[in-house]
Amino acid sequence: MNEKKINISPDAIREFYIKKGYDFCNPNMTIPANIVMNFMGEDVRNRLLFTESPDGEDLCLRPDFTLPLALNYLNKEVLADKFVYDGYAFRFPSNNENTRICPEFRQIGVEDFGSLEKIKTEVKIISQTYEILSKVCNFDIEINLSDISLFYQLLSHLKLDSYLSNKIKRLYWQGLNTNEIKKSLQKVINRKFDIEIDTEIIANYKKGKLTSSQFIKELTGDSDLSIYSNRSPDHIVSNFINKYNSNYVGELNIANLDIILEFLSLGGDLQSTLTKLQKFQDGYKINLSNGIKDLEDRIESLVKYKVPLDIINFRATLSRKVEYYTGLIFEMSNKNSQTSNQVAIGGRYDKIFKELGSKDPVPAVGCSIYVERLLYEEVSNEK
Amino acid sequence: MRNNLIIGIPNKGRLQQDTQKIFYSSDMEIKRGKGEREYTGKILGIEEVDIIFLSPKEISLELLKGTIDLGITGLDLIHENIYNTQENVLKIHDLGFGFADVVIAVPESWIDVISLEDLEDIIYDFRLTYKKRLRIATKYPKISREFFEINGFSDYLLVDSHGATEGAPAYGLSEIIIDITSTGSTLKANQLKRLKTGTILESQACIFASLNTKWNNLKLNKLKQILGLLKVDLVYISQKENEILNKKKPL
Repeated sequence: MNEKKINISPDAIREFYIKKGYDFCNPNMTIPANIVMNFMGEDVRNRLLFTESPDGEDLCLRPDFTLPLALNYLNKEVLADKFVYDGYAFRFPSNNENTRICPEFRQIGVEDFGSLEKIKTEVKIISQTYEILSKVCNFDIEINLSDISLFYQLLSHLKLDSYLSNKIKRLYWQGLNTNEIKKSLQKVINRKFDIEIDTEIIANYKKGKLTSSQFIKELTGDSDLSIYSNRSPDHIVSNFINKYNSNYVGELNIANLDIILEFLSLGGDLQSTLTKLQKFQDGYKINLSNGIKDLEDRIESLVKYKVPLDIINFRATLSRKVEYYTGLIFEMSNKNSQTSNQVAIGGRYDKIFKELGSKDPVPAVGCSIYVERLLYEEVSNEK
Repeated sequence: MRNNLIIGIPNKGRLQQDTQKIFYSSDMEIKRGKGEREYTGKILGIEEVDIIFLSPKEISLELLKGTIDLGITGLDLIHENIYNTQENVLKIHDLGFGFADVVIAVPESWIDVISLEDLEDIIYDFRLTYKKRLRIATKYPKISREFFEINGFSDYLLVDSHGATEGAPAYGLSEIIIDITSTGSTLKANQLKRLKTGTILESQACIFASLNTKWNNLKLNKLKQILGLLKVDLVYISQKENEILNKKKPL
């Protein structure tokens, strides 16, 4: 029987981070709805709480802290670079959420913006979060991590057509397991671009006798076409010809598929993953050296910051349904949980500021603790 | 009035004409009280049935509230306006008119997009290239969102459109549309084409029963009488009667 008692004090978590040098901040409660929708996509709309500003702008209550805080940072409304927040975010629970029924949920988290010490910053956040969770929780913490940039290095090496490469990235971001990804990719292999065309039109186009818009008009038989909906005729025609020549499908041959699936099935403790990655790199002569070096440095740094390596697993398919992550992704959970809920999630999202309109890239790493989930796991563990 | 069976019927346009026609040819003449501007009416020869004339959208909403017992409207409007459709309304009978499909339509110039899978490629590519999501104009946000969720899409944005949706790409409101079409000629006139496998819902006018109203023997008998006159199969009528009795909510 576990001798620890329920002793989680969310306030103590916030105070811990403050002592570690993070500035307490309270990001805006509302955020322009179009920014959230642009980041999170249409399927999140039903889970957001909308309102309107007095001058008619569509707003929503913050669905998380990262976006409003990044906006505050970008607009110079906050002056530090390292922040801790503690407050409520608002999102209706998803169907499989079992720790809450109301739309509000408490999050305590940290963000580190602008640090160029890549690995050190990441590992500090992991180690601090692990440290405070180990102190306040009555259950054992387990950490899963992955690095999306490793997977992107692999896809880039395979030199797939951009549409195909994007399709694979989409499957990855959907959080599918290897088998589900395999099924979907096999569908792609079997896919046919079912269209008949006079090959002379293509030949004329290739000889430069037709412009892209003339090519489209020839093919559709409509000489008055004028609506392209923000796509260039050149782009449309080049994609059409690629698909017609089966390049799209042809590039994802069985060998490439196997390489992708083998990579996605990589996992286990960090040291053995490192060995597997090196073997994978050598075996297929694929250069993953940047990602491998980062993993080596992370391991070294985790040891230095006293995070036990035996509680950490690498899982190549670990992803989140928000695509702004650019490198490290990690999650912490109750090792013996009956649920699939993570109590803390985090990672690196260097693209976020660019997408919010910043001229220069700003490195960003953060982590968020879900307080209700923490309490739920704590109570479940007591039973 | 509330003890009578109340039926919501379209108040104007083609749906109203076709409803009146099909009832008339089944020996049920629908009569408006004091002429075309009156919003209540009767079916001549059938007592204890009240007609209320409403817009097709209002009919779906009143079925949900339970202020009408039966309603004649399009399947598309029922799916769009009523969450948990099966818990709130029961489709009683297809009327065989008002056929139209809710479809995804893209510019005809997009020769590289002929299927839903092709569209998925473009939607993602659009976001990567333009750093914003592809916009879809529609007056069917609920149906659209459900369809894309089933098909694993999320990289798009819906834009409200309450009329002339087919023109949205031409005036820059959206890149593509989701709208209702029967012959496809309005799509064609606006340089749009349907996707293969891009049909979201096949709709037609139907009789729906509210599951949020008080069903008693009198109302059920009137429903059976009307369905009998519409030559609906007796076994089917009895099956629908049982479904209403089993599914209706305690009031």
